[in-house]
Amino acid sequence: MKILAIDTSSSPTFVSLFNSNKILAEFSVNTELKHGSTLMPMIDSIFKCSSQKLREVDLFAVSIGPGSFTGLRVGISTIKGMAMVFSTPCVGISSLQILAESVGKTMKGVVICIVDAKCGRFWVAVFKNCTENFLRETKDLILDMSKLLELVIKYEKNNKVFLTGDAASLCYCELKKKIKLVSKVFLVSEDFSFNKASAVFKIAKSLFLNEKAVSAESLCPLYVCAPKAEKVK
Amino acid sequence: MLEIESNSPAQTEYIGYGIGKKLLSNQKIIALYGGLAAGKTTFVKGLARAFDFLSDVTSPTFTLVNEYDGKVKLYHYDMYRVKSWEDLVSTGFFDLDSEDVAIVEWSENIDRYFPDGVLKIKFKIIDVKKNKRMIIINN
Ligand SMILES: Nc1ncnc2c1ncn2[C@@H]1O[C@H](COP(=O)(O)OP(=O)(O)OP(=O)(O)O)[C@@H](O)[C@H]1O
Ligand SMILES: [Mg+2]
Repeated sequence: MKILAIDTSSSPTFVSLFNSNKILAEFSVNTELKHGSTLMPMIDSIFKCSSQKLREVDLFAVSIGPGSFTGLRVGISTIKGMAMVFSTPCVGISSLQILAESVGKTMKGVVICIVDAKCGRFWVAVFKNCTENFLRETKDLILDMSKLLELVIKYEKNNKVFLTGDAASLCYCELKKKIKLVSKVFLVSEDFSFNKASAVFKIAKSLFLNEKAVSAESLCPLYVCAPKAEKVK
Repeated sequence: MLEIESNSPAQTEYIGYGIGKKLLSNQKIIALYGGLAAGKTTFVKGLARAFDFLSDVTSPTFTLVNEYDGKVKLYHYDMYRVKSWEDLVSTGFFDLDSEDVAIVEWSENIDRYFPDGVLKIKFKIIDVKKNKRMIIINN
């Protein structure tokens, strides 16, 4: 079984190609270039470099958010375009789950994924690192910093807490201002929080095995809406 | 605060050009204010030229955003129909990179979501018959 996976939910573009049991190729670009200019050439070259063929792909995996509005639309419409040709099944993957999964099995405890949603808002999801896989503790949330800190403190009472995602270090700094002794909260290093192909591979495979694959037509982005309360200047 | 008087569309365009040339590289959002036909799009025409974008600049009333490929990418927004956080997210406004510059007509609709330090420029119609406008720059 061959899987082509892409993630355009944040500013880097990730493309990877798998067969049943291994990563055949992975490719990421993190420049000022936008997904609209990086994604197609990257897909093209990942097939060329690995001597694989698009028509042999059995499953498309795409990150459906939360994340960059434009990035998600570029990624999902590209996958739709390719998948419709041969009615290839697709799986949509939560970008926050990819972050959690790429933390790896060594960090035992609670993983809180925190991604900047701009204007002082953050996309947040909590996962528990169990023996087999990461279990979701909350749905995808959109929180401001004070609500986010409350959440971290709540989990910190009974668990080791690992913070990951592009706004994790900001959250960690704010936490240190708020409580003096931050002994059970850890910041996951950037190297770990970089979305890893193996994490996507694992999630895509498990979604497929659990019959969560859908048609290209029904694939859609996951926008987590902001609360109605607006900041007034 | 700086107030400049304009007595013709050409003059407004030239003021836009001048301000475009003087913009600091850390000025990433230029917020334009002022009602219908106050001269915002006219001003952007000149400013885009200062960014070495030499093709036509048109009003993004229907497209919401136009992209101009000059010495840097300039994103020209018209927020006339953009009123909520959800609307704003769907324009791609938050997906801009640190290299990009955004110039925003009808900023009054959504400026509560702007970060601090945006350059604010107000357009006032002083005399319709005499084509007189006042351009007020705040920073
Ligand atoms: N001094 C002036 N500066 C700019 N425009 C002028 C001036 N005098 C008259 N005009 C006229 O006013 C109109 C300004 O149009 P423009 O599209 O620039 O306005 P706008 O502020 O972008 O409006 P909208 O809110 O519809 O986007 C033009 O028709 C122009 O010819
Ligand atoms: Mg206009």
